[in-house]
Amino acid sequence: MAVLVLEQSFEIPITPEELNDAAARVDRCLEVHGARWMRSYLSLDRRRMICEFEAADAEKVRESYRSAGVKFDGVWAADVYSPDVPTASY
Amino acid sequence: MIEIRLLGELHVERDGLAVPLPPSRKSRALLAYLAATGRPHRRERLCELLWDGPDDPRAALRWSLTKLRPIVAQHLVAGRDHVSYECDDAAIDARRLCLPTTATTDLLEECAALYRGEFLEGLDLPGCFRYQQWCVGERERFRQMHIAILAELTRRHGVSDAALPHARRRVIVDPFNDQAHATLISLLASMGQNRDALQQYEHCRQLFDRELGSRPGPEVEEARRLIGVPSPSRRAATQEAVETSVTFVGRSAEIALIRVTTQPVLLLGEPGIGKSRIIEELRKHSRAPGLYGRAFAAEMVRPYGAWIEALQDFPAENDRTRLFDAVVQRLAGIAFIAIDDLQWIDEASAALLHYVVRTSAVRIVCAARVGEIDDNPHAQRLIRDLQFVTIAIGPLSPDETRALVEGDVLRSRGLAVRQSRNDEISQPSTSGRRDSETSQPRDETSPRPADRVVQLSGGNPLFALELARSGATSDAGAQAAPITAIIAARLAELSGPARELVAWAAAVGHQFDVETVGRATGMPAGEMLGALEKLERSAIIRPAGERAYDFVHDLVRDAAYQMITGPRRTLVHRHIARALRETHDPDGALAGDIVHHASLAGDHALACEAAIEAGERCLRMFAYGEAMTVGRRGLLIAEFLDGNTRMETEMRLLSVLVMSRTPVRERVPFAGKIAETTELARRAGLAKTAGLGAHLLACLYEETNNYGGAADATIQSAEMSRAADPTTAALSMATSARCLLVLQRDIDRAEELLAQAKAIGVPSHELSLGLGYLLAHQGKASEAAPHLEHALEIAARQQDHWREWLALSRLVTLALEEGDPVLARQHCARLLPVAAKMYGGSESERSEVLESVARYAMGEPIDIEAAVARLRAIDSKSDIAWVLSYLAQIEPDRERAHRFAAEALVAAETVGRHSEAVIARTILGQRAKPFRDISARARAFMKERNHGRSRTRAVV
Repeated sequence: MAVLVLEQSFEIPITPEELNDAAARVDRCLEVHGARWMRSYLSLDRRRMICEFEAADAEKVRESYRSAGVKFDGVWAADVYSPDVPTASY
Repeated sequence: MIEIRLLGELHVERDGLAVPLPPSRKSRALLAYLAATGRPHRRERLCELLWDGPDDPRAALRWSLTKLRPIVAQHLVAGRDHVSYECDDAAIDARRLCLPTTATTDLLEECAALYRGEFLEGLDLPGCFRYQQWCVGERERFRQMHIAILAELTRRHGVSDAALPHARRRVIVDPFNDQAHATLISLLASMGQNRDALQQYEHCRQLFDRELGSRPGPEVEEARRLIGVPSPSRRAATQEAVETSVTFVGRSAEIALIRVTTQPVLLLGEPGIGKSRIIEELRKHSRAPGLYGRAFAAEMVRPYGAWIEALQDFPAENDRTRLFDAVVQRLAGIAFIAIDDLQWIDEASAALLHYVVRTSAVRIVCAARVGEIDDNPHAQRLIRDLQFVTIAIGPLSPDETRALVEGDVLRSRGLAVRQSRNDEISQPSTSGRRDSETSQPRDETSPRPADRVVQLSGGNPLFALELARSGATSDAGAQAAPITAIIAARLAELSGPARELVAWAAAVGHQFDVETVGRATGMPAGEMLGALEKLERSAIIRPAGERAYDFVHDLVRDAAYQMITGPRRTLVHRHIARALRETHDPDGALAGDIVHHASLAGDHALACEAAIEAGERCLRMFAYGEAMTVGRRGLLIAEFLDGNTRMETEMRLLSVLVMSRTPVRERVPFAGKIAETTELARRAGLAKTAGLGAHLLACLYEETNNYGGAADATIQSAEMSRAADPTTAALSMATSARCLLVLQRDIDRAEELLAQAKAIGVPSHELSLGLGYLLAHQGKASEAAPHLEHALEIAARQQDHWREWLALSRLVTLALEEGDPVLARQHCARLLPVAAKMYGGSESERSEVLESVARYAMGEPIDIEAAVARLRAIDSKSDIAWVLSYLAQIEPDRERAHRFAAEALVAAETVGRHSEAVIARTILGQRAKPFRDISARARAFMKERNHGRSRTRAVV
């Protein structure tokens, strides 16, 4: 499974209710597409968000969002670099 | 002049003096009949009326006329054949009545005064059928006229003393009319006579119960509900009175800090430290109006409880965002919102507060108990997200404590003593006992009596007040007992109805409705009102909002609750649960409370019933977290039920759980329980319950991608398509089917779902897309294309670009699969503009790649490797699988075709696209696994290859 990163931006700061609603709809589609949400980062001004998924490919995440009717800026596959990943990965 | 009065007992006056009537009832009835009808009657007719029998009726008539003649001689006209009573209408009261709609008010007042009782009261002759029939008919006619006159007079007089006798009279004349009672109750309440209004309501309730075995109608309950809702002017006066009744000391630094802080403020402190009092003080001195609400204890399921209390009139909307917007709109002109007891806030209230803070300028002040707030994740999240400024409320200084006690309690005690003495003079105690608290002599002469309180209380205002009220100011022996013990000791001094009532009120909750407590206790209204006054004077309770009382502090309530011993507590909760159940509650707002009380009472059936109602209400209010909570709780209680009732109850509770839009992973664990209960219900012949279970499973499986399960459940559930909204059901099934087809999984299930969706007969882009994809998968390209075009048309109309793109891109790939790259290019020309409208995805790249493939297939010199590289860049493995497997089929260069196929195979297997995997393997000369779901195209390709045929791209 690849690591996928999705970027979103919101002209008006997203409310928790909107966020919950979108998440509920996307969650359902992600599961259908065999994708798994890992974590998200929402900026403090609630205008930008980055979500991390595991899926067979980026298109599964895009299709989930499209199918759920949730807008996004882009999805890209990624390698993960973190203190837990051996330096050789760089 | 002779006057005859028929409205009431028959009465005759001559020149203002009563005339004795003959003792014979028939003679009196004859006079009444003649006077009331005012026209001549044949003698035979009169005989039939009153002397219908074997004896000589005409002689009897003659005899009666002789008895009447001395009384009304000049008016009685008795001819050979006819008899009549002739006079002016003015002489007969019944003939003077006017039509209520046209008469003047003065005239109507006169008409009302004519009624001294019912028509010919007491002059019944059950043995004379015809007369009796006439009499009863006339009686009812005049009663209706009376009611109409009284109603009209009540209406015309409005809220005034003049209206009251008419409204009261109407209730007497028409005792089982809800409207009559409601009018009187409303009138009394509007005139500020709340006690009378309550008594009237109580009278009505008892009357209906006793005489009809039923409850008053909704008009009466509504009128009861509005008792105590004051007019704006009276409300202001009442609030002022309440607010100025308690001394406020110290806290100047805290209040100054609150006033300068623009962020939400949280007042944090121990119980009784004065957080609520600070909020009250802020409200009192605020220039613009503020709202105040309290969160409810966790065991009470009341979504938006704090907001409902604050707004009084909570809006109802179709979705949560609209609901929140409606609340924000209502906050126009509001300076601040205070939410007390934040440690108990429910998820829905917290979400709304979150929204309000971010979308409006209204200021927020909350209060919470230190320590307890850590247990509430919703409150914690609020504090973190909204960046509350926390103000710790510490103890009062010794001087402040002294000022509080001396300035408030001692003074109010003096008032209480005086009030109590007045009460004793005007209303002697029925029990003969004197209340120990108010009758004890107080030592108000000793210097600084509050010093001891200051020392013992440690600056906790509630503790200080309770110590002072308990007499610690003068009791040298008082030790530093816990505050709860001090309060308990003070409550123990209560006696009679007040002692009884305080325990019941404590069991109800921290706020209690007078009617509910009255109904639960069975205490007469008058006695209860006396007890309430007593408790209020003793600073144990205080008015809360407009229709209820509250304990002055939750610690007082807790202490009062402890006064109820174990077995009695069960009984108390049972009575309260049933009293709540009897309360007019069309919205189910009390259901959460009923669950609480019924479960404590061990009334499992009632608790479950209420849990279902509370859960459904939570769903209506988009309070999904609370729906989940109440559903789970209900399931635990339902375990105590037996047989079919248990199955039916559990399934309805499971329905609440499944329908709550919490994350699906939280609901999936209930699938097993639903399946088990469905099977049990089916075996027990509970078709409806089994049907509901199958429907719930279908919903759940659909959400969790278990389409096989969804299809099974759907097929099992004969009720589903009938029970669910057909449009929603059809769309849901078609969407599921389309998803399966796009993913190339469970094609048989997809076909079944599409067949069911189609049978419902509601067209949708998803249905057409699904059919298009299915037929394409089956190799029926010519049949698939019209469906895809239809889907495209609907999606375009709905501005649903993604589904437009889905339909068009499938038309492109379909044309290519069918060996028609020219048509594919034509579709690409439509596809590219659609993709250009879409933001954020990969549709533009994918469209351009498809166009490149079509052109490559047509033999154009296209750098197809570069096109494929674009697909790799956007990481679209499904597209890579399809494009490369397609290119491998048409590529004349064998080595290149193998390379394409190899990459296609990897991509296809990664994303589970079996058709492309089969094609790739075939090209690579590998044995393909016999997948059920591979497309007709893939099968055909395998067959072609087996026969050595192949298709290659056109070469320019």
